[in-house]
Formats: sequence, C-alpha cells, structure tokens
Amino acid sequence: MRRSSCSLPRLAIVCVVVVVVALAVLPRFTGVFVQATLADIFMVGTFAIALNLIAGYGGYPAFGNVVFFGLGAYATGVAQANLHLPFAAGCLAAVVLSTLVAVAVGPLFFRLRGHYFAIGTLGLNGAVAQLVTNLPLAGGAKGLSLPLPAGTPATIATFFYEVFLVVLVVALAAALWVDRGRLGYACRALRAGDDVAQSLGVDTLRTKVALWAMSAALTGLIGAVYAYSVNYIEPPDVFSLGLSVKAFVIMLLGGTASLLGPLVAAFFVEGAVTLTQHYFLNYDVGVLGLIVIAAVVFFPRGASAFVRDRFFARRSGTAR
Amino acid sequence: MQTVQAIVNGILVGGFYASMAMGFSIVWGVMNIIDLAHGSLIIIGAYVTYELCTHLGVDPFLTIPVAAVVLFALGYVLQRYLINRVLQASIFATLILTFGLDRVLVNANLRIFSADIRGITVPYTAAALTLGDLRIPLIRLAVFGVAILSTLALWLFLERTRLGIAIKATSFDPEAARLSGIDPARIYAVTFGIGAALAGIAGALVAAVSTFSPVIGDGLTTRAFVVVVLGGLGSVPGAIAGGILLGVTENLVASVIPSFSDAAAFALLIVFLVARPRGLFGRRFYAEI
Repeated sequence: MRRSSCSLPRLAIVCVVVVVVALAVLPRFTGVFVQATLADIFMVGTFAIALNLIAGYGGYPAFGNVVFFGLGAYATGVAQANLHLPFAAGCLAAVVLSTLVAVAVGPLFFRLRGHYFAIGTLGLNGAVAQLVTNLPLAGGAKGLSLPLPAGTPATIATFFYEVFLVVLVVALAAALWVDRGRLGYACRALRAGDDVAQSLGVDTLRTKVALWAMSAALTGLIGAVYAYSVNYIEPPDVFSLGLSVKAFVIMLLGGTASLLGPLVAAFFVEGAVTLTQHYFLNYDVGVLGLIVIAAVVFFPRGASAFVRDRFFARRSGTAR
Repeated sequence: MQTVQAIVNGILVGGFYASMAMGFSIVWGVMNIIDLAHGSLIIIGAYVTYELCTHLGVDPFLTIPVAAVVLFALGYVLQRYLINRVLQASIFATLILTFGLDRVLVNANLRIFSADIRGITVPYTAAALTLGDLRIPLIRLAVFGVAILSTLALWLFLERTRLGIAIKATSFDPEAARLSGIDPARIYAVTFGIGAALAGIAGALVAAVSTFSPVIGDGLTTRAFVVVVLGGLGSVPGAIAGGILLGVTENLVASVIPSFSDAAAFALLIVFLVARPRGLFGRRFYAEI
C-alpha cells in the first residue's frame, strides 16, 4: 500500500486549527445532546488514532487494545472512589498504569506477529478483565461507582466535551509527532521488514514498545475520562471488544497509518452508530454488523484509499 | 478425590473443546482467517438440535448429522459469497468482517430464538458410571466419544480422500494447487463449510449436555482459539491435546478458585503464545510466527 501522509500540507494544518477552534467555541451555541454526541465521536476518534499508532504505523493488529481503556477506567475509578483523589490524579494514574503494562508485556508480545499478536492481545484483555472482576477493591462484578462531578447537567456536558476535545488534540499532536519525526521514519522502515529496519540502524523492539506505550497511554487516558463521565463502570462495559472493533473499522475506513483519516471516519461511524441505535431498536447490533461488513467488503483498503484512487488517481500516481 | 473428579471432568469437556476448535483451526490454517463468528455458528447448531428435539421429540444425538448438514450449507454460502471477497485483503479486514458477521448472527439468533436460556432434558440425563467416589455422567461420556470421533473423522478425511488432500495442498500453496487443476475458491468454500459443519456438531453437543443462549458464542470462540494455540494450528492430535489441556486446567482451577477459570485459560494462552507459539503439535501452514 502506498504511503499517503509522509508530508502533511500546510493547508491541512490550517484546516485542523480552524476546525479545533470552531469545536472549542461550539458549546456556547449547542445543547447537551449535540455536545454528548460530539464527545462520543472525540472519544472513539482518539481511540482510533491511538490504535493507529500501533496497528497502522507499527503494523501490529492490537485487537485487544481496549484492555488499556479498561485499565484506565479502573485506575481512575479506584483513585477517585476508593482513595478520594481528584480527577486529574485519576487521569495520571490511568496513563501511568496503561503505559507500564504496555512496556512490561511489549517485549514478550512483539515476539508474535499477525494473528498470533492479535490473539495474544485478546487473551491479555480477557485475563485482565477477569482479574479486575475478582478484585474486591474495584467492586468486582457489581461494578464501581465514581463520584459525581459538580455542576448542572449542562455544565457537566460542556466539561466532558472540552476534556475529550483536549485529549483528542493531544492524540493528534502525538500522531503528528510520530508521523513527522524519527519514530515515523523508524515505522516506515519497520513495515518494510524488521531486517530492513535493523540494517538502517533502527532499534526495532524499542520502536515497537514506544509506539505501543504511546497508544496505551492515550487509550488509558480516554478510559479515565469515559469512566468519570459515565460515573459507573463494570468490566464487560470497559473491556468490551466491540470498542476495539469500532476503532478498527474507523481506522480501516480512514486509512491505516494516516494522520487525519481516523478522525474523519470517526464522525461517520459514530454518527451511523448513533442513528442506528435511534432508529433500529432491537436490531441495532445486527445493523451495525451489516455496516461493518459493508465497510470491509466495499473498502477493503480503506475509504480514503478508495477516494484517492478514484478521484485523485493522477496526482497520487500508481497507487497499486 | 475432588482433584481426580476435576481432572476427569476436564478430560470430558476437553473432547468437546477439541471438536469445537478443529473447525476453527481448519479455517484458520487453510485460509488464514480467524473466524470470530465461529461461536455463533456453534449456537446455530445448538438451536437446530434444540428445535428438532422439542418439536419432533428426536434424541439429541440423532440430530447431529442434521446440524452438520445445515451448518455446512450456511458455511459454504457465507464463504463463497461474502468472506471470499476479502480473502486477499489485510488481516484487519478479515478480523473485522468476521466480527461484523458474528454481530449479525447474534442479533438474528436473539430475534428468532429469543434471549431465553435453553436446554434439553433426555431420559438418561441423570445416568452415570460410578467408580468409588468418582462420577462420570453417561451423556458426557457420549459427548466426549462423538467429539473425538468427529475430530478423527476429519483427520481421516484430510489424509485419505482426494478432496482432503486438495484442501491441504491449497493451504500450503494456492498457486501451485491452481496449477494442478484445483479451484482454490471452491476449496475455500468447502473448507469453510467443513469448519461450520464441525461447529454444528459441537453445537448439537452443547445442546445435549448444557444450557445455552445466543450470547454465549463469544466465550466459545475464545476457547476455540485458546485450544488452537495450545495444540498447534491445523493439527488434529493438537486439537485433542489442547482441548484436554484447557479442559483440565479450567476444571482444576475452578475446583480451587471458581471465579478464576477464565483467567487461567487466558494465562495458559499467553504462556503458550510467548513460549511455544506453534503449540504442542503445530506445523507451519500459513502460520506467521
């Protein structure tokens, strides 16, 4: 597959800044529903951008990346509910715990490739989910209630909208840093093969672990914000593979190893999810499954590649 | 004594795990697809048996061929007209596709059969062999026998028949198989059909010995891939050994700390992935270790 975002045009950066500023002032003009929906989009968008770091740039299908979301949610849950620490401390705990887990298991997991890596991360997610279920401190299978944020429903909605937007911007900045920096070059070498990367002087294991740690930190952070925003978490909810898959679909549609693709795709996918849940009561799971199937069958290489090949074929040259 | 009973229970359920995992394993080994809908196919097989037993009063063991044929047809069609379209795409695409398919099947099962937990009672449900304190329910022994027999039948099929050898040839090298006059697309559809038929058999066995509902498919899929990793991809003896290893581990852990049996399965999975990713009896097939 051709690389699309080796260089980001200046125009795109200007667009991103304009959009972010517009989104930042949006709460003044909209109600709780729009803000909550957009906050959801920011959340899954961030999840997809974080997943893209390890799966798109790194080439490792971390199917169980939702494990960091759950760890982050429970880190902040325990910090806030049991230790009575503030939200910020909970977020810090989430980031630290997720990063530590990724760094600890990374060297073992990166001995695997392809499906085996995917299954390994699924196993990690399952094992951690059951450990948490059996942890009395974390409320076990009954779940864990977090303290309520102060304020009216409207101000709370705006608060979480802003927090998710900030996290999204942080994730975009991290992805940009990876895309443009040394790590990005190391990744491109990695995708050509470990041998190639090593011959260019890339420390392959360190690169992979660094990518996964960044991915884990961002995923843990949104897990923490999610936990505080819903006030109640339970293992089947925050360790749900459905979330990983949604992020994969977004990544696939947006184009792997693409900087802004996941963000654009997140708007469409999360929008479709919201509409489906609204209009197809009792059939929403199946309709979502159909959307997922259609996405894969019609755009196996990503919607962005499809659009590029069809409309910008001349400019992008021979994109296979 | 409790430990011995746990080991015996583990071996008995391990046979069932083997038949369940074998269908998953052949699809993965031949087409390089992780079929996340495998658990839902098993559940469909369970409903075929359940409906035949409750409406026609047939013995659950006699419904096994029906479940196998129905699921073979479903699997053949799914592969031919859906999964085949993305076979050449990335690993992301096939994983997501089968997950989407699984969601559709779960939702369809929920709407058609409802979320109620189903089970079948047969006259011999309570019959058991007793050896001292050891108790072996006959129906579980029968399930073990059918599971092992169906797994061995698959092995004979792959080793001794022209079609079986064509499947193996395609899994090693689709291009070379094509040059020998084999149509890989047809082989893939037949292979997926066989995988689904094994899921149907496993489903009939689930219905015969335990309760089920549309949402337990995920847990079955998880166990299938644990068994495949333990035993080794594409290996029939491996599936039996892996199934028994998983069954015994789960039951032993459950006899000490009941709530940790799933975590033990996942821990076993991770240990094997890291220490011996080819599993106990694995060969290469498509494996990218």
